Formats: sequence, structure tokens, C-alpha cells
Amino acid sequence: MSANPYLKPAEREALETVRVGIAGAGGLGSNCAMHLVRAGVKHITVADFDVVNESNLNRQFFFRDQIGMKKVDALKENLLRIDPEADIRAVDARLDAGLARSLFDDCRIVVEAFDSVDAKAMILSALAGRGKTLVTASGLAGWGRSNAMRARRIGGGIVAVGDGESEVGEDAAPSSPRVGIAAAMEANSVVAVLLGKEV
Amino acid sequence: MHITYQGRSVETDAETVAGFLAAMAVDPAKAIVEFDGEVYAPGSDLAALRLVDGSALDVFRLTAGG
Repeated sequence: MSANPYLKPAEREALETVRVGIAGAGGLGSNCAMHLVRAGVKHITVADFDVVNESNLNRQFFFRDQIGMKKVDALKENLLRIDPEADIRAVDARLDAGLARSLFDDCRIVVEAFDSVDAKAMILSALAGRGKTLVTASGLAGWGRSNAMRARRIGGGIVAVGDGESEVGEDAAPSSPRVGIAAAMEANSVVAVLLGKEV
Repeated sequence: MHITYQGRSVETDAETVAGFLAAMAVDPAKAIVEFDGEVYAPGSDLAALRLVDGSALDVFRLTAGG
């Protein structure tokens, strides 16, 4: 039984028989994973090298008593509280192109959930043209401008979400609402692709 | 010549996608580029992609945050 009792049999089949990869378990990755498990996705591979710290609690799907834990371990713990039968492969590693290709080899869809531009570019370059759908996010800093956030297909293999402009920096911190919107849009795009719906 | 960039018609003298993006201050190492229906991952070599009148170019810039 998945966390989602509202799925039709064909939808359940579509969501429960694939593995989704998530590169990064920060604001995007942790919240995207939460949405995917609630939606009914059963098999997730998530990779991150970082540990939970206090500054993460403004937007990431962790709790105060998890400070100091590896993010992937804390995330797996939280996801299993939503669906104890979820198959969460939690990988404590800093991804490079080679590791990303091998780690996500059995994933039909991979979510880019990094914060740095270089890491985003690395994972997209590493996995492009390998028959996977890649879901990426850029433009999620600050507050407001909800209607600037959108999801768009780029060719047949990439879905890009966010406003495509705003950048986290001194004048634009990452906040729970806007990072959360982007993470939810990434999850929504994954589910849409798996169900053959418009993103 | 006129090309379509981000869905809008623009006039340019650039001969290649790389040249056009340089003029627009877009770093192709930090962007996904769609040119005439083909998708180019960040870091792709765009120097050989020649623009012609009516070319269609779309760019999704990667920005920090997550």
C-alpha cells in the first residue's frame, strides 16, 4: 500500500514500478522526495554528502532533532514515516559525472536538486542523451512572484522549473515558500511524466 | 537577420549560436540551449551551430539555489 489511497490502478502501477533518482537532498531534493512519496512513488535513489544543520531548517524537510545526521539518512527516516514500505536507496556521496551515471542507471527520471550552478550543469551534462527524463530547477530565490514560476519542457528529455532568473545570493536568500514551490513543481513534473500528463 | 529568441523575434548579426549567446551575456556552460529543435546540455560546443534567418533559439539559464 502506498501513501496515496486516491490512485487509480493504472496510476498506481505507473508510479510504483519505476525508480526515480534525486541528486541532492537539500531544499529541493528533500521536499521533492516528500512529495513523490506522498504521491505514491515507491522507489527512490537519493544522493547527498552533507549533514543537516540548523540553517537548513528554514526550508528543508528535516527536524531539529536531526541536526548532525547525514541528510540522506535523515531524509530516509522521514520518508519512511510517510510510507514504511517505500524503497529508499540513500547514498551518502558527493556526485561526480561517473558516479551519477552509475548510481542513476536504473532510474527512468532523475531530479536535479543541487544548489550550485556548477553541480546543476554537471549532472545535466552527465545524464543528457541517456534516455532519461531530467527534471531541473533554477530561479527560486527570494519571496513572492509566485506566478513567475513555471514548468517547461525542453526538447523531449528535460523539464525545467522555476522562474529561470532569480539567484540565491546576498540579496535573495532561499526561503521555504519559493524553494518549496520549485520542489513541488519538480515532483509534480515527475508524476506528470510518469502518468503521461502535460507537465 | 531575424531569429526567434525566447519566443520573440530579434534582429542579430551574430553568425553562430555561440556568438549570439556571448552577445546576450549567456554562458553556455551554465545554460540548457534548444536550437531548432535540438537540445544542448550545459557545456556543449555551440560554435559550429550557424544561425540563419528564422532560426529558433531558447535558453534556460541555470541559477544558484536549492
